Amino acid sequence: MSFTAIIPVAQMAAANAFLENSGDTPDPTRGKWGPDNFSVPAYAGSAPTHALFHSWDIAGFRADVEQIAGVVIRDGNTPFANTTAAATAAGATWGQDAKPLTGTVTPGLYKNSDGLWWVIQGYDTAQYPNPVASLRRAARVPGEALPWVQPIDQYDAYKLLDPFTGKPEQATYSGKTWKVTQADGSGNNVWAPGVYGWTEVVA
Amino acid sequence: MTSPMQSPMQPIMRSPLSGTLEFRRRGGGSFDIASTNPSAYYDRTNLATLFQDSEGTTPVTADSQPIGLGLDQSQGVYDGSNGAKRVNACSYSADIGDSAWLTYGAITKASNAALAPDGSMTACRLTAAATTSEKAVQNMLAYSCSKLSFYAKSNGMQWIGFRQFVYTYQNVCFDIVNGVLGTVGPGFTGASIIDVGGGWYHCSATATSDAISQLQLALFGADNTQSFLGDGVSGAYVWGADCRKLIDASELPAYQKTTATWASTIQGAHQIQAIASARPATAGIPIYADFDAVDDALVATFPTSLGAGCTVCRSLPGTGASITTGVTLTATYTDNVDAHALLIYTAAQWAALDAGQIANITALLNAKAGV
Repeated sequence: MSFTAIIPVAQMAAANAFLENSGDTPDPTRGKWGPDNFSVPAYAGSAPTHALFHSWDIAGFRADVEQIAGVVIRDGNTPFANTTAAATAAGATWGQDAKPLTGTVTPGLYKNSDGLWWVIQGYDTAQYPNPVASLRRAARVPGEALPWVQPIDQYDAYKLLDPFTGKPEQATYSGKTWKVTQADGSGNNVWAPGVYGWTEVVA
Repeated sequence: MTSPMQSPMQPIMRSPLSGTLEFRRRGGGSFDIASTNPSAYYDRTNLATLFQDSEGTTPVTADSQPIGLGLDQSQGVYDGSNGAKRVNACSYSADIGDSAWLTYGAITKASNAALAPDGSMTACRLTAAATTSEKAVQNMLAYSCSKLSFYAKSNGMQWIGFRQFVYTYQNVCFDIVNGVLGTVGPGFTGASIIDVGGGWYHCSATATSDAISQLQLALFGADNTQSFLGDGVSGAYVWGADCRKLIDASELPAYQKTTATWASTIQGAHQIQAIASARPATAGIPIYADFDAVDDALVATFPTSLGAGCTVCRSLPGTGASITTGVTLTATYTDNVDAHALLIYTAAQWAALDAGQIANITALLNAKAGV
């Protein structure tokens, strides 16, 4: 039977390293399943909060995934529906399940032609087509440089190391593309590019 | 009766995908797809071209199995009897001078130092340094094996052989001056040395179980004498190491060349997925690649960008041929569409085809889908 596995993003790197099982001293009791198995973002805020994957039935793989602390596994033979359910059960929304940003919206993940949005507080999109950041903000897609938005807290702070890409997060600001090069002790940057901790990306 | 050169196909529908035309054709025999010169051809109905892992170690044998490697057949169709399956767990089997082979003790090695048994200038020279110690080269095998073999030719030394950790440094020694067998360690059920001409011998041994995870080829000062003083000049030439599981002992070819991985020795832009959870699975009758629409993908890398105006042809489950023109492709092609088969042509390759060849391609793709 195929399954979906989901894990908080803070544990993503360790979980992927566990499954990759490479290096000088791989564990011979486990398989080598390649890098970056957890690679699909799910959202409970404007930045990904969970990472997940769906896998078909591969001998030995599920047993190794079960050993990862904090992982939640959901079995099912309909990949799309099972992945949706796994993310929902974790209190998150899989990016593919973002609802259309039209009409009256409630807090959650939405999408329109500009990309993904995280709605913080319910509002009428017809009445407020371009609401303030306290109502909604652009959801960050790993690997994409979107317009910089002032973070509110550590959950939407820009990361010195994006667990999905293994690289610093990027953003556009003042007509330039920037990447995080300095952060607080937790790897978070809440400052504006040009103020602290950002370096312009030169093509 | 319809002539193969008369186009028997007709468009029956337009796909919702822009630029996609779908065709169906009754009947239609097989033809050599290589004659149409595609950039890539993947046929999931031919299980001999599919492997569950990206290293090509475990073949796909049925539906509901993962696909980690799909061989590109654009330069030849593999039928499972011509080396499509990896049987040799050694890397760089023909280039023992490569850095994949580590030296152990007082020994030096030089690549491309002499003519190998296949006539190529790829034999490696092993030289015993003027220090008293063991003298070996070592290859970490892709998986554990039991049937070991290599080719050797004397360059001033008489004894060479296997030096294996698994059986507590038990050795198998070969006299490559007189062509006779020396010591055979107790962990081995048999060994042989065969004169293959030109001063070369094919040396082989079979262990009691598939437990050998690293291969050591060692120079010996005498039969079963591991530590000795070399002269800095003498040694032996070696080439063509092959280590395989017992179940593969009689698989052809008797020696399988490898480089970094096995698949790279077969020409083509193979589809690979190294991440377990991202592998599609085989499904259906006829078999197709079933992508989960979550994270599955197979990735092929071409030598250069394929450019604008490419044509992507698929055999879709339940539908048949789907031909999409005007696609711009880079040197990396990521595939995540369910299909029995997939063909990729550059603009120039597609433009060179006549109506009859396109009809044959369409018929083939329909046949792959069983429609």
